[in-house]
Amino acid sequence: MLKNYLKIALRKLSRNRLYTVINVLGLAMGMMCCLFIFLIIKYELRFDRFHSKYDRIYRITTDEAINDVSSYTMGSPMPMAQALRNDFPALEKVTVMFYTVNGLFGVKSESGEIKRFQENEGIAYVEPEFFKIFDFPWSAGDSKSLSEPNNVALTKNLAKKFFGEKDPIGQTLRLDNQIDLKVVGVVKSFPVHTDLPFTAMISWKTLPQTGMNVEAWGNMMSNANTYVLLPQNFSPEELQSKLPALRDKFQPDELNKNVYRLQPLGDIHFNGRYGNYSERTISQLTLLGLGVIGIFLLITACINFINMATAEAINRAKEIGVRKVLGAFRTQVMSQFLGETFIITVLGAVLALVFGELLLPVLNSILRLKISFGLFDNISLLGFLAALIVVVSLLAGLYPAFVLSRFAPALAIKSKMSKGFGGGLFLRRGLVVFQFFISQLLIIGTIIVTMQMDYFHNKDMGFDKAAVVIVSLPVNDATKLQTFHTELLRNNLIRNISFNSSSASSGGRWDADLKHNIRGSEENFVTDLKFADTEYMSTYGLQLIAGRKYVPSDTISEFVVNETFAKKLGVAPHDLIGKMLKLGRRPYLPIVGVMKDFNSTSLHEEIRPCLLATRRTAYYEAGIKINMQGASEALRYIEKAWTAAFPEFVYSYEFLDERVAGFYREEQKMSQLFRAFSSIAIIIGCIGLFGLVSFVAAQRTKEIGVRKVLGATMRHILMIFSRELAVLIVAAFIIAVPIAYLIMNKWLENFAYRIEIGAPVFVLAFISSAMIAALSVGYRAIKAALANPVESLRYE
Amino acid sequence: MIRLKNIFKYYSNKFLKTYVLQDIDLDVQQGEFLTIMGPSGSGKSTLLHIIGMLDEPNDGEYHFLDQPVHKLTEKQRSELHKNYIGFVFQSYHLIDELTVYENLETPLLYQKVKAAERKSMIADILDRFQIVAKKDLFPNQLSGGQQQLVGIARAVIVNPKLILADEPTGNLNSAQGEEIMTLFKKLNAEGATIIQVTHSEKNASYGNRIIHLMDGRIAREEGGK
Repeated sequence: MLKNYLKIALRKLSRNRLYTVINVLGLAMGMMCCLFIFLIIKYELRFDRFHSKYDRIYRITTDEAINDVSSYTMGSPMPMAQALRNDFPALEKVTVMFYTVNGLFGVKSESGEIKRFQENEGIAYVEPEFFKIFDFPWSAGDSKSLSEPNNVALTKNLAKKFFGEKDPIGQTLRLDNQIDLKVVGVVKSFPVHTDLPFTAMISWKTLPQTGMNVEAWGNMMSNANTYVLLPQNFSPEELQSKLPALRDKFQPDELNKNVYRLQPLGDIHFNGRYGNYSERTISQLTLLGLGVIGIFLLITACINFINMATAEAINRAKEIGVRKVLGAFRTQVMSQFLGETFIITVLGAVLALVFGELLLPVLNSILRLKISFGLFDNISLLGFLAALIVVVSLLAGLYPAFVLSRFAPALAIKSKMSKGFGGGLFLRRGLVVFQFFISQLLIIGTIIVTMQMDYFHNKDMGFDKAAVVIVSLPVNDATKLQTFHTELLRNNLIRNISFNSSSASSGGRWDADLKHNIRGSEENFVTDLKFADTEYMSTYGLQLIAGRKYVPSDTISEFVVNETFAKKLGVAPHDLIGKMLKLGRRPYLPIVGVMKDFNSTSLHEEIRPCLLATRRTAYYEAGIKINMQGASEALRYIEKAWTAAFPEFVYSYEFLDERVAGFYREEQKMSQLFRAFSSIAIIIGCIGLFGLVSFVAAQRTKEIGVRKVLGATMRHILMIFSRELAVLIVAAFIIAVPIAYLIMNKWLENFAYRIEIGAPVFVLAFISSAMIAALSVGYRAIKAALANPVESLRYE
Repeated sequence: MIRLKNIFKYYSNKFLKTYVLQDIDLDVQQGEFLTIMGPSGSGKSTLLHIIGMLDEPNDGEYHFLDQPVHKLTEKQRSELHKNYIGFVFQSYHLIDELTVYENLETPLLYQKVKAAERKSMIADILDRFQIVAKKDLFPNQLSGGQQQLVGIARAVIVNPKLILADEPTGNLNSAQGEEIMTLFKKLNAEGATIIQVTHSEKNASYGNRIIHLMDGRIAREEGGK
């Protein structure tokens, strides 16, 4: 029996090539997207799951309320861990750690020459307890040795990079040309799915040697973290409720009361408010959205199948009648058709795997993920694929099988099946509307995301981001900076140089709490702070609207503020000139200029008050404006000058516009994903339409022939095909518009600066989906209209 | 073997009932070769389909081998039909995607006949109908007469007690038609009950009893009993 079914299925499929190709292709694309989305979701959900004490690990985060503005950080005061250990001995483990963005490691080779490695991630200062809380196994050495200063443990990969095949244990390293470290352990390289992607773990007690005050409660940094391992059956709420008392004990004088919270390890990867060290959070909502898109795409593909199968049903009526006459039960007919669907689905799945294998690198590069297929060592993926095949077979096959097996044999044999009988015309229309609805939703989404991205790139941020190269200043020794500066200026491709704490727009922010007397009494005021030399404004094209630039100085002597600063104080810009500000423990110093507003952070945020002042020791970067005509030569020259000025460091550079573009990386990914998925939805939809129209054209060959004989023109015939389609597109559009509007408006709320969703978006979406539909239908319709009626009527 | 009592069949179209069969009473004994004749639209095929359990009457009783067909479930009817009835059609109705061999095999599959037995039954019937050479061809590679031969072979392969034939020679030339009718005669002689629908007096002459239908009623009867 099975063999018979299989045979007939395969023969049917190979005879009906168009039908087969359309179905297999559509299902394959839908299934491939589902596989990808499954892989993405699974990848994201796996983060840090491998720790055996996963459920009991918490990070202490801080909500700071400065003036009225709240800000959230994953950091907590460094002495907190010790305080928790002392005051709450019941806690199983508490540890503090400090993450640094970059470090320069010097390795002395046997010949005595020093090899330098610039590491831009993965360096952390940790206590031995870190390894008691998290499951990062050591392959050599003992985590206890991290209780001594100047010890370091490296991951296997990093150790290999530094020392090659040599045994790393006992070797020495020099960090940032100032701290000597002894390698005491080798840790298995961390898995990719952790938000603690460390490679070099330096003992916590080494940290004070960098000049860090680890005892200060007021020293809040987002990269100083406290982790707590709760004992079994210890509720986090209990500890949470005691944290305010702890704060009051150790920070009694603080003006702004911090709120410390326990954040479960399971939340760290998904909570964008606090962030993590994989520098990527993904909200559960985004994952859900992806899942929904996956399901949509799959449904779209199944709809194709159902439409094609029911349209084709008429052609199979005779076979079904005969089978029933020969004694087949209805269930047997159903299982035969389900079996055929199953075969098509399996073919689709195989093709989906092939597509997937080819496109996975593209997906990884879009999303900056490290997902691998590994089908055969990935049981859950195999299981998912199997489940997918079963679900798709049923989803796509059940209804057609039901319709087909319902045929009364007496009628079916006499070919008395009318057109509408091939399974509810209403249903088929509904399915097409649903397909159009999905593709229009995705098209509208794509247009809006793309427009918002263009807006990001093209919006005037209030400064000139073109042609500025940024290099770091590893030391801010006066003579060295001067040498570097002079050397740079000798090249005429270099137009401007500014030494500063951060570029006009940067990812990080330096908050400063200052005092002023402008409104009669002494008040506190919070502002963004940037330290920069006098060339800053000309390098970044910032404009003064009142007063003058400050005079050159190595220390803070005068201030320039922005318009928003004035606005927040309620003072006109020119009235602010000469007013005094007190920053920290320094004396009151004057404001000498007010500049036009510019976006000092990404466009996610509003412009905040900003304060500019000179202070050489806080110059971490140089912004160098170059002539782009000679960009490569200028870059080579900058590298030479930099290396000459800072020989013991490793050079790297970045363009300002790239840095700014980097603010929107998540959105960029989102827009690329959107584009990819909507293209696939559109392709699947087109394939379906093409197939459907092919069948309709075949079925109505005679009708069209008769009409032409009666004098119908090409236009009349095309109308037959397009009228109904137009109605369906409009219906789908009416449903899609409000839903898309709501969803996309919600998304746009993430940005302080955003586009307005206007009618043009929807018009564009409508026109494009109508065009796409017309294109996929057009070929067949024109062919049918052009067919010679004599040919089509001959066989009647 | 077959007892039809007060069989009515009609199609309702809103308020209008169009009767296809009205008050049909018919008994068919085992071993008969019955011909149903009548003009187009007189209800011949519908009657045949009701006897073959492909269609249901709106009213009346139908006993087949002493079983009340009108009271059986679809599944029971299907069971009865596939064990006792073979169908032959005017347009052969072979499955285009299957070879001659596979077409013959299909009813056996539905009867869950074991593989070895299937093989011998098919070999046997191919031999009897002298179509061994054609067994791997597809229906569209055969002439009409050959297709109908396969159609009959497929109907009789399960040794049905009753063979129903709906204009079996309607699409054939006279020589082929004669061959087919001779075959029916032979099958009848071997013990099968046959009911055929035909327009042709000549074909009717192969049988031993004729009923004439007119507007859904039995107008007259010849021979038999």
